[in-house]
Amino acid sequence: MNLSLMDIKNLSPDEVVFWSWRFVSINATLVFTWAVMALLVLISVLVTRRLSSDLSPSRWQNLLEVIVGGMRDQIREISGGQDPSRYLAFIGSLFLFLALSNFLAIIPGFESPAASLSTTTGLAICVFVAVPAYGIRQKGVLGYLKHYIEPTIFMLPFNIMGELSRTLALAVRLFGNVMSGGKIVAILLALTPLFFPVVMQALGLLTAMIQAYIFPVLAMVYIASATRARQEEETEQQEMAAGTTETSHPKGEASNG
Amino acid sequence: MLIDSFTVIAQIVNFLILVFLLKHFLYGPIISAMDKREEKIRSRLEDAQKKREAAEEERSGYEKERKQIEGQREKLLEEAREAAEQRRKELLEEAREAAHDRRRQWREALEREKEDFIRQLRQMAGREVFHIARRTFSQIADAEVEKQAVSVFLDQMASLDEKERDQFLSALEKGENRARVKSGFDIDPEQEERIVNRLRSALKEEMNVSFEVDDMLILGLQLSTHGHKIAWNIEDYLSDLEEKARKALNRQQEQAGRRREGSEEPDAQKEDHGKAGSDAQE
Repeated sequence: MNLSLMDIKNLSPDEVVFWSWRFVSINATLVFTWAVMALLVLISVLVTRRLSSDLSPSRWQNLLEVIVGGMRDQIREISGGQDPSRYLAFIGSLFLFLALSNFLAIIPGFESPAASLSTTTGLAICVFVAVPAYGIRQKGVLGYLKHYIEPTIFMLPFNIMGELSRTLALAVRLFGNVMSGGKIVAILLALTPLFFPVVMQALGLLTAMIQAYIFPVLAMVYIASATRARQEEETEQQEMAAGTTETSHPKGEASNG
Repeated sequence: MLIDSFTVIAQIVNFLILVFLLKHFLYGPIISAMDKREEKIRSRLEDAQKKREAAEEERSGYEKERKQIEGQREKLLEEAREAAEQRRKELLEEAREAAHDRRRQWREALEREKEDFIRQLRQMAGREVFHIARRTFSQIADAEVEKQAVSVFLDQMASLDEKERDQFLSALEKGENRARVKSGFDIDPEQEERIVNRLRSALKEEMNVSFEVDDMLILGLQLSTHGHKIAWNIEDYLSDLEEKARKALNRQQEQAGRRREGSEEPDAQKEDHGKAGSDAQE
């Protein structure tokens, strides 16, 4: 337990403060965040320094291409066929940061920054801002605001409440899952120091990776719902038109029969 | 309090920095590399497609050419076959003609030989007949017979037809009324007297008649003047006989030829076919 910076009583790495001056305090969350960022940027720089557009790229480049390509496909799928390059930097960074943070949690002494409610809140605020930002960029201010009073104006308070509550849920879900995973391992280590914690550690890693996936996916879903509204209307109209033609067919068949 | 406001702000800033850095160092280069690769792959695929199309085109061109060549080959073979058939027919025809020519030559040669033989035979027969007749007549020619011959000659002179008589008279005029009687035997003066009288009465009173003996006439007499002759002669009969014999021989010969052609022709043709066939095979 000496390796750990945190006590079992500390719920968040925020509470481990290395240095503080008035309002500013450098805690474990920030330090580990910087570490993850540095690692990500370092890998990126090292790999992209020798990029080749040959048909057989290096293994590392191949790995990054698979990851980036996979993220692009996911974004395209969720956004209903929109151009993924607009969202890739934001959504992809969320995923890479959370995935690497949660993955590195298997290293003893490393605490995932996502286990801090401050981090998840910060990311949730980013999403909270990004959703209307993308929406307005796509549809204009009025076009975006219009979806708050749809289907009727009476839905306005519920829509606003929904907007807020889902941001809160986003932050708390991630924090709760990652934090609890770490805490369960810590508690079990105290009870049964051998083997069983390893299983729980694996389970915690799985949960954390799933959360690292869910967070950006949900963010993308929110952004997509804000940007896709018009397209949905169009597709609905098309579907309705198709439906009428479909319904007219059986009639014709019935009359034939 | 689990939320530290400074940490929240710091994390937002950290995240924005991370987004910027990753966009700059990761997504941009990786995506451009991927795009370039895709572009390269697309261009290669297009190249491959173009090459395949070109190859396909070339293949179809070759195929067409091959078919053309095959067609030409077929045509050439057909032509060669026709030429060979033509040549075969020509050879057959030539062979048939050659055989025909040979047969004709052979037949002509045969014919010639036969004709020669017949001519020789006829000449010999004629000669022999003359010889025999001459001998016989000279042997049997006694005074009575000669007297009878003179009578026959004189009868003939008397019964000359108008045309012959006119011709003789005009010839006699040209010959200054001189006429000559040739005979194969000696005529006694009494007979001569009788002949002269009879001729003068039958033809012309003013004519002068001289007598001459010519053995060739055998048992005959001949009255001649200035290139014109009237004769009663055993020679005439012999010539007549010779003519008749000749005609009979020719008739017989023709009949034989027809019979031969009728029976030999099919066999000969068969023989020709066989020969021509073997020639062509060679």
